[in-house]
Amino acid sequence: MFAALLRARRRARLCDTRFLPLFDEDDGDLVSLDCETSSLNPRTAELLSIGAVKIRGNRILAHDSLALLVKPQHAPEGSNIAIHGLRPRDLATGVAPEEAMTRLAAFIGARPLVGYYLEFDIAVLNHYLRPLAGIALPNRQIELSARYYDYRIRQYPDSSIDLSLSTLQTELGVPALPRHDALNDALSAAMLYLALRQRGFG
Amino acid sequence: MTRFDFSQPPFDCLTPGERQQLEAAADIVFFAEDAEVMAPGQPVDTLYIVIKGIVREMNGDELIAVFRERDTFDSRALIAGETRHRFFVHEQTLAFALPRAAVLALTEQNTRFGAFFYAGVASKLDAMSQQSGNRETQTLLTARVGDLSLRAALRLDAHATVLDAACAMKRHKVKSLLVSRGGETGIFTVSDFRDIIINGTDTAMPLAGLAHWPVIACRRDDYLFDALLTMTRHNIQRLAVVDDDGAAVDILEQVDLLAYFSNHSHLIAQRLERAENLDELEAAAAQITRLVQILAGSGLAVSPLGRLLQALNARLFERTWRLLAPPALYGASCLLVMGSEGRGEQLLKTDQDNALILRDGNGIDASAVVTATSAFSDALTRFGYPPCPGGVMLYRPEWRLEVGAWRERIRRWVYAPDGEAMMQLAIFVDAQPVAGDASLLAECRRYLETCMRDDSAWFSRFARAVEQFDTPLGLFAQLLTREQDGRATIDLKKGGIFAIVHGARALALETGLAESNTFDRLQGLVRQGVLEAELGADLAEALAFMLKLRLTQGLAAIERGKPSGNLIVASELSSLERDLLKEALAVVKRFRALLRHHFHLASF
Repeated sequence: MFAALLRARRRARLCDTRFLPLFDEDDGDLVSLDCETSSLNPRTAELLSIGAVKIRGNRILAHDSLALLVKPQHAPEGSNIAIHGLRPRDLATGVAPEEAMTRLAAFIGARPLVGYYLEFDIAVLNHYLRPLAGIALPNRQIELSARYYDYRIRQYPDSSIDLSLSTLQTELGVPALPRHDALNDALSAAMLYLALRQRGFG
Repeated sequence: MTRFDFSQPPFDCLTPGERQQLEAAADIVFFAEDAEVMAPGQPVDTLYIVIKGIVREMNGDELIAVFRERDTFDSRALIAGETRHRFFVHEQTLAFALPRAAVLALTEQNTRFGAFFYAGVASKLDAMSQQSGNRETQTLLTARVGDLSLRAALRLDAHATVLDAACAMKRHKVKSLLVSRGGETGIFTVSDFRDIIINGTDTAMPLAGLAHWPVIACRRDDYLFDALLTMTRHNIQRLAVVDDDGAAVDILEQVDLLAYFSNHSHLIAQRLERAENLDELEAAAAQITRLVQILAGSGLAVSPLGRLLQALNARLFERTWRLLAPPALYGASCLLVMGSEGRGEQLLKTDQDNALILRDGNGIDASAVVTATSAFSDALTRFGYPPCPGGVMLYRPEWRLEVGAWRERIRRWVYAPDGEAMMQLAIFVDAQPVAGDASLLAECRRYLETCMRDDSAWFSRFARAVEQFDTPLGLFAQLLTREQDGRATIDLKKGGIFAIVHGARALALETGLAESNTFDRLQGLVRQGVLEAELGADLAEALAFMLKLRLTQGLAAIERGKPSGNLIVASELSSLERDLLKEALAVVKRFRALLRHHFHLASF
């Protein structure tokens, strides 16, 4: 009820029709999302790439995925290049942040978003979205680390729970794809989600 | 950025463009344990490739196959668009889902990729042999002089005469010798006799003036082709081989070198021929295993490999028997090899199945027979042929009999058959003579044929042994370990090889075929119209594949210092090998159904 009200208010504040898809009807699919950024501070981080893939039932629609390289306004820091492997020259072929945001909105629509430490990614995206659309992403968020925590604490109350990605993958029997590629990370998150949902924690 | 593993067949034969095309169409599907992936009555619109997890294919309660990481299922169902089997998730599974239309489009575009989906066993095996490619040429290019079995050089002093040299060369069966003069080494060869005769040289002439000084030499670690070049350049047939101190110790003959390039087996055969005691035979026998390693590694098919070994082993046994048996015994008896050795299918030294037929009333002292036969079995054990666990060896009284006693034994096998008699007869049916009077075996054979004629019920009893071991495909159940306990294994002999070998043996016996090799028998049965050509070819391929598999794992075991056996470790198979094994076992299953029908086995 409260969520519906919030959505209605956000929609009223929307100042750019290109982002209307965010308020489409919910078709029951989910979108797994991951971003690579230039730093780990959400206020200064620049978007470098976005990976997103839809989940329909037990199927990850990899054939219908979104992989965008984003041209940053400033050159990424050397220390981060080592992590995500996106060199300035790779990013030169990327799209402008504004185009990336409209294409992302068209792709995710009103679908709930799934991710691992999603909060950070959403904060960075909102940083770009607010000036353009006047709103933050209205989508419901499904945080994998939180779901995993709920699942483990049910099994082992009072234990300390390791929430690292590799632990989640090992414990849930999901293969580890090569990391720090936004689409790969989105696929990994989607697989983790399906494994958690099958255990009743979707 | 490739997420999809394209290194596995059949995907490894796609071009980069086709890979992109396929990857763009691939989804990922998650299945919980016990979920049903495909079932009869549902259209099959997807080809799955397991990323992680285990899926099993069931026909009712019967397990047909197990699919694991990187396995593809199910190519046949995809082509047909439907399946008669149910596919269940055995362990939580993530799989790539490739849409049928995209895969079919690729099969039309890429013939090699298409062959994987449409082809039968034979062409899949062919695809496999293409992979293991051109190792042969590599071994030949990288072989060194030391890899050959070199002849220890005979050495004479320069004062020795031409006559001395001729006698020594004849005695030691060599064509050349080294001549010493102070610290210098020369060479004297048979071709020098030509000049000696032409020039009328006195045979008392010392070698010093006739030998060639100094001898041209190579080193043990020189490449063989370098040695060949040296010979060609100097237009000579042999080189001395010097050791690390620079002293010439061996002779490398051009004929040996060429033999190595054409066929290593020639060297071993020569060595067997020249051997004068058991020690030398033992050294040659040790080379046989190495020969198998080299030839199997170079991609020689198992059927010619088996025959080559049969020929070598027969020579080895013949030489051994000649050394150990008194001439009278040798002449009045026939030494047999039986079982897999008789069929020419013993690729590694698995066991010694042998027997002796003695001429009736030979008058040879019984204790001499006992001594010679025991020594023979001991020698074979020393050469690395383990004693037969079933005791089928000629030193046992029941396996060395006079012809009359053999006839009585054969009569009992045929007319009072119990399980053991059947197996002993089966071993005997495969017998081949290797030494002595082969007519003795022929006589026993003729007797066997007259005993068996026109008794179809007897053939059914004989064939029944193929039912002894359970449905081979069920053996895949052992793959279902849920990754908990140790390594899952499959007994290839019980699971597949035996059914083909014994089935072919029973049919060949009934048809009156003289061949003892299973591949020959299968061909003969096709010729006689007993087997359909396609099944005959599939059986031969399936048998060759299983023998090769057993050989590969056996060689690996020998390398680790363990005995080779019939057990195959499932986890050591590639997914293509597992696929092929599944197909091979399916062929065995078809053959067993035919045998059951042909011999009315269901009525027992």
